[in-house]
Amino acid sequence: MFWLLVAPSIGVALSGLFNFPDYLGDSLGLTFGRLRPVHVNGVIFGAFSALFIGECYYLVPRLCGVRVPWPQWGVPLAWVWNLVTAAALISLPFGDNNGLEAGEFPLFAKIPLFIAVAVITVQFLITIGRRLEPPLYVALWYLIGAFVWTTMNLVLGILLPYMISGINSAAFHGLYIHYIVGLWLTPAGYVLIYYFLPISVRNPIYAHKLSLVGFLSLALFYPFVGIHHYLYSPIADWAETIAIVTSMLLIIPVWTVLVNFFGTMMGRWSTFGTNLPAKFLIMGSIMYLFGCFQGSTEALRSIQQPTHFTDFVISHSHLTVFGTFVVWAMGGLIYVWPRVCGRELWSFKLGNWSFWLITAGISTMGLGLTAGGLQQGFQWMAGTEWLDSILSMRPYWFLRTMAGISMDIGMTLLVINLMMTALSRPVRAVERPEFGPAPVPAGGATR
Amino acid sequence: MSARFVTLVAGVLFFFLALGTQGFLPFFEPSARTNKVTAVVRTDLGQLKWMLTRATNYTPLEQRGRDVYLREGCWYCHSQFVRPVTGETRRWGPVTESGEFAFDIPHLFGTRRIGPDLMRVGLKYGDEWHYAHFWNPRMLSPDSVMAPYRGLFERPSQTVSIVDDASGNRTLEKTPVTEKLFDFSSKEQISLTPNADGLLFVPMAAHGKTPIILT
Repeated sequence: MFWLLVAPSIGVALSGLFNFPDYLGDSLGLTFGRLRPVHVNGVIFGAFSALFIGECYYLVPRLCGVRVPWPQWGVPLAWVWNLVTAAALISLPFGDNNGLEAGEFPLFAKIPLFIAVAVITVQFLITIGRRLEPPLYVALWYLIGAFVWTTMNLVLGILLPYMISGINSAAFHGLYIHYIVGLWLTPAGYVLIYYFLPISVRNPIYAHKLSLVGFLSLALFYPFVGIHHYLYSPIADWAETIAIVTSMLLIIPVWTVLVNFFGTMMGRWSTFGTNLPAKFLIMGSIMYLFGCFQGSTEALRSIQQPTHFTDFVISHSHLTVFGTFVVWAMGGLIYVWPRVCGRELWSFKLGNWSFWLITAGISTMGLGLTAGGLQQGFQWMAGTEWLDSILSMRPYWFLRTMAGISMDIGMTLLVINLMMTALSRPVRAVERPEFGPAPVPAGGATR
Repeated sequence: MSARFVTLVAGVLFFFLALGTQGFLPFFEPSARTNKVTAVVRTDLGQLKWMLTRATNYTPLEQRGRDVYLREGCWYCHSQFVRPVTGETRRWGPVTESGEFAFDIPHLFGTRRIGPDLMRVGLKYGDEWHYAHFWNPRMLSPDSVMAPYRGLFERPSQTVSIVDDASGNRTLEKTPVTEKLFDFSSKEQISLTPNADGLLFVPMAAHGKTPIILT
């Protein structure tokens, strides 16, 4: 039943992974202004969220030892989620835009998405309430946080574009957009890696105390950071300062969870090369270290002077949203998918190609955009003619497109790999039916 | 267990605490609810004077423009606030004040400048510049990376041909489209020059006059 559930949401989500239109550069028929929200929302609600929720339906019952209540709702919910997301993504290029960055979806999509998240939240809370083991594993803490916060945040997203005016609209929008990344993508990503990293490398988590420090500091600091998107705007200075201070304090949860992830790998590095899920998870963690260092420092007023409005910010968002969270979700997917299908991953070699293409792509993109953003920012500070500063960005933009193509090819290979895993009926499975019910190691974990 | 419960509840409470300090409290700052703006006026003696005035709501036409700006996602590439740092006042103009945004629902501050800031661009270019620029930005600034917005134009379904009029001049064929733009019986004439692609730019000044085509 959970298998059925995971399948459609992931399947459609993967098609969402191909929605990276702005890597294609200057497509003339469709303008950037119309396609950018498709890319941003496609990644957030399509690629990441559908994968995450699908993988949650896998891990929650396993962590709690009981099934999710009303399992028959799962598949319809997945269909609602994916159809609504697809419909909203299609509507965006037709000019349906309400002006709320990262919340551009029309109401016909936002309200069903809100209901879906709310129902899933209730399902998971009930499951966790009925759990057999009293201790609450840290992944579940984050899961509760992610779902409860996001249920509340989506209400904000529904009301915001139509109710609040002027600089208050900007202040609330800053909160909303950073709740999407900070209270949805971040704890959701932590759920995945806290579950899939220990289980895929078969090592207990390095330090439970650290993981709690990470959770509490995230819960304490992350809700406040939103206004750092609009420093030096007419929004009250003290509110901007609170946002800056909490942004810097976010180094605490980031570094504690990263210590935990790398600590979990201790003693297992020898198997790392052949353990595909762990490779994705650890690569995402490295990206997270860089992406979040950027994020915290660019909240500082002095750093924001050159970096704001430039590709430095775009580099940060790609390193964290794609390089970390989507990569973690893919790592989890590579772990889950073969087990759901009851067979081995179709090709480890192909999976490794995906890994390296994606790694090379996101690293190049991150470095290139950071360098380009800094250059443009300092050019602006030096008073360079506007169009000259655009001209000097061209090589960086070309590099970014190449990096994006590399990532796209990597993900395409990954999807082909997973589809072949699901569709092919390998002779081995027939020959050795004892592999069926037993958990089958994925990604060549046992090779 | 209860300690855990408390921390979980606290986690949720921080969400509301943050909404309070970062969302609602700034709202109570007097500056957040004002519509006062500083305007510069030129006196009869030609002096520039700064005066405090009140922002007014958008006119229907302005609101329509804002809707298009929002719908087309202009705000992904163009910001609408000038910061008091990094020489932005020299590049764009005076720093923005909160009163200027009083009637913006939602705000369109923007977060990325792929193109220039548009807060102070209002009187910089004429309508004709904008027509040409929206048709093809590269006609006016060859290095621009902006998308062409030809979809915003009404385009005649058929091309208009050039014909000879009775007095030996070359003029445009009379079609519903050209008759809406020009008055062929007018005594006032306007000389127009199509470009090499056959594209004819009709300036505002040509409306209601007889077109004469120079090639």
